[in-house]
Amino acid sequence: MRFFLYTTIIFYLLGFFVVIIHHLTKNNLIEKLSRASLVLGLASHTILLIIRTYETGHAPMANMYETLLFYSWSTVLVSVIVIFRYNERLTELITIPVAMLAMTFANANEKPGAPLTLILNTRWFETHVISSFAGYALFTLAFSGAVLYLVYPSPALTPTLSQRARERGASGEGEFLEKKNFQDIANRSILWGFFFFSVSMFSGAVWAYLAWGMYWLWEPKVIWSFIVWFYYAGAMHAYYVREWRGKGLAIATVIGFFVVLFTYLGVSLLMRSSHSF
Amino acid sequence: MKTIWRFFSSVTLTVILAILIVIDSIWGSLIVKNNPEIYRGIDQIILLPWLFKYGIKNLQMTLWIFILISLIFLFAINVFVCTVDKLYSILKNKLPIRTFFPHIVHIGFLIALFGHLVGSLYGFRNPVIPVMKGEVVSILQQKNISIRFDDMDVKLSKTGMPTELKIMATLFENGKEILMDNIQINRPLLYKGIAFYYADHSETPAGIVLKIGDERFSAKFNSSFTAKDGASFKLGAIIPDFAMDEKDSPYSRSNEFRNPAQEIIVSRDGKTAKGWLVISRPGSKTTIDGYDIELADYIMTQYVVMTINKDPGIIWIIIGSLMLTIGMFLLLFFRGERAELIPSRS
Repeated sequence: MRFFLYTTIIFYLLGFFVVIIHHLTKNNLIEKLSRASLVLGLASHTILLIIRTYETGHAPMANMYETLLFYSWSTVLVSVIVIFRYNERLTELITIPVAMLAMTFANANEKPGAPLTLILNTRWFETHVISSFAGYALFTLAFSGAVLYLVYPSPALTPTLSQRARERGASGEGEFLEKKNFQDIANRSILWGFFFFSVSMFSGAVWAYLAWGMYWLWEPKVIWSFIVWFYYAGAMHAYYVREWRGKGLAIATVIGFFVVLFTYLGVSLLMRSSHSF
Repeated sequence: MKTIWRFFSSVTLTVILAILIVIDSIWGSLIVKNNPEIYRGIDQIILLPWLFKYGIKNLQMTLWIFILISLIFLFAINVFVCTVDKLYSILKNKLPIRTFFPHIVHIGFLIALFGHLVGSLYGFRNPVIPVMKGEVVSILQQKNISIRFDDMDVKLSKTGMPTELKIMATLFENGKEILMDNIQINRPLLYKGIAFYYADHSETPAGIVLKIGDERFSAKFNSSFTAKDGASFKLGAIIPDFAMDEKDSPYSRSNEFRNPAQEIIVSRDGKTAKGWLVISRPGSKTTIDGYDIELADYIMTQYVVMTINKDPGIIWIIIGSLMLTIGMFLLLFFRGERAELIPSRS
């Protein structure tokens, strides 16, 4: 287990630094090397989760250690999809460190696996948790897109960049499109994340009804999940308000990530709830 | 009227209400965190009748819920007006079907919300109903329906952890047996909208084994038996925390079973004598009417604790939530390139 955990972190770390070198050198071979590192890291991460599943006899999502491993795996998976489908190599500069932080935190909180209690031994458990972490991973990608949108220089407003573009014989359109890409990644990841999070809320409600006879509980985790859902519902609609579409929505997306982090980790660690680990 | 309609059809209002709902809920989560006992209690009841009867007198605890309900009500009006507006436009201009997808999400949300409202107004919750093995218990709110706990099957792993748990039960309606089924964890027994859940189980004494002279008698509480010499013994009242006052009259110091005692009534030759036997542990003795009576053992029986709830809103919540997620799916995959994180710009 530990071997694969460390191997995964090393490959992610390597991929992260190599992609930085690629951005500095624009060398294609180095770019391919960073892809390979991430893919090998993801493969090692997948083996780690498979071993855990084999050892415990259930999906690896039943305690803080397992969910941190699963969250980081989901985050890297969406990052790899972005890399291979869109050739986009900047969002991972944020998502991969977030995933590595989660893995480091997991390493510090390692717990031996245990069989599932009867209440968790249902398909609703996997449906609820997988969709929830798919949502969290996509909200992390949205956070990355929003941060890049905020820090990426706007060609129209940055004379030096426009000048650089002119020097390269370009009109600055490339920079504009790249910045627009970050906005799209942020907004569409929210749309995807909201879809998965809605599935998670729905499956959680049905499961709670089947297990306890109520689909809503007056307790912090449920209330914070409701907060996340409404927060991103508001963010999706803010896209249609022209004056909020750009910077305002990007800032809201960044804040949203911290709301998600608090819902996942803060509530579980600081507040007593039915989801405490 | 037009101004009000326009006000409620605004997307800006949607965003502002979402922000206010988030802020109010964050405030509420802190109140819930600091008062878990109170809010755990609210989980066991139907919300709105309680809120307007008792919650209104405890506004420092419940004000955020009143604000939340008001904000969600405004949000629902906002969603409704927006949806009606857009649907009118879709139908009037014969827009393609894909323009309808976001409104499937909106309608689903409104239906789920309606389900929450129905569930918060009607139905009932009985969180703790102990049922002894073989006992028939009627539902407090629907007395014509009752349930009997027939048997129980628990399979344990090598480590002693339950791996399977089944409660066999029989349902009765108007005294007639209508259904035999089992209740499992995550699988309640459902009948006419009433759901029967397993909450807990254990064993409890259903009677005692007495040694009187050379004879042993097993008797359930509130039952009688006769000895060889013709004397009749009846198990009467039980005092949970037995003590005698200055007049030698028995009384209970508390309602907890700290020192339970069983009243035993002995009848022989038309004469009756009463006495008390402490039944907190086997071996305790008493003498009544010349009979030396000793508690030899207990007759144990299984019981389950059931939760019996009825929530008429659940079906609407399921329909609404399904519509919401299906609408989101259609929106992602069948409305332009929304599933693509970066759209093609050709």
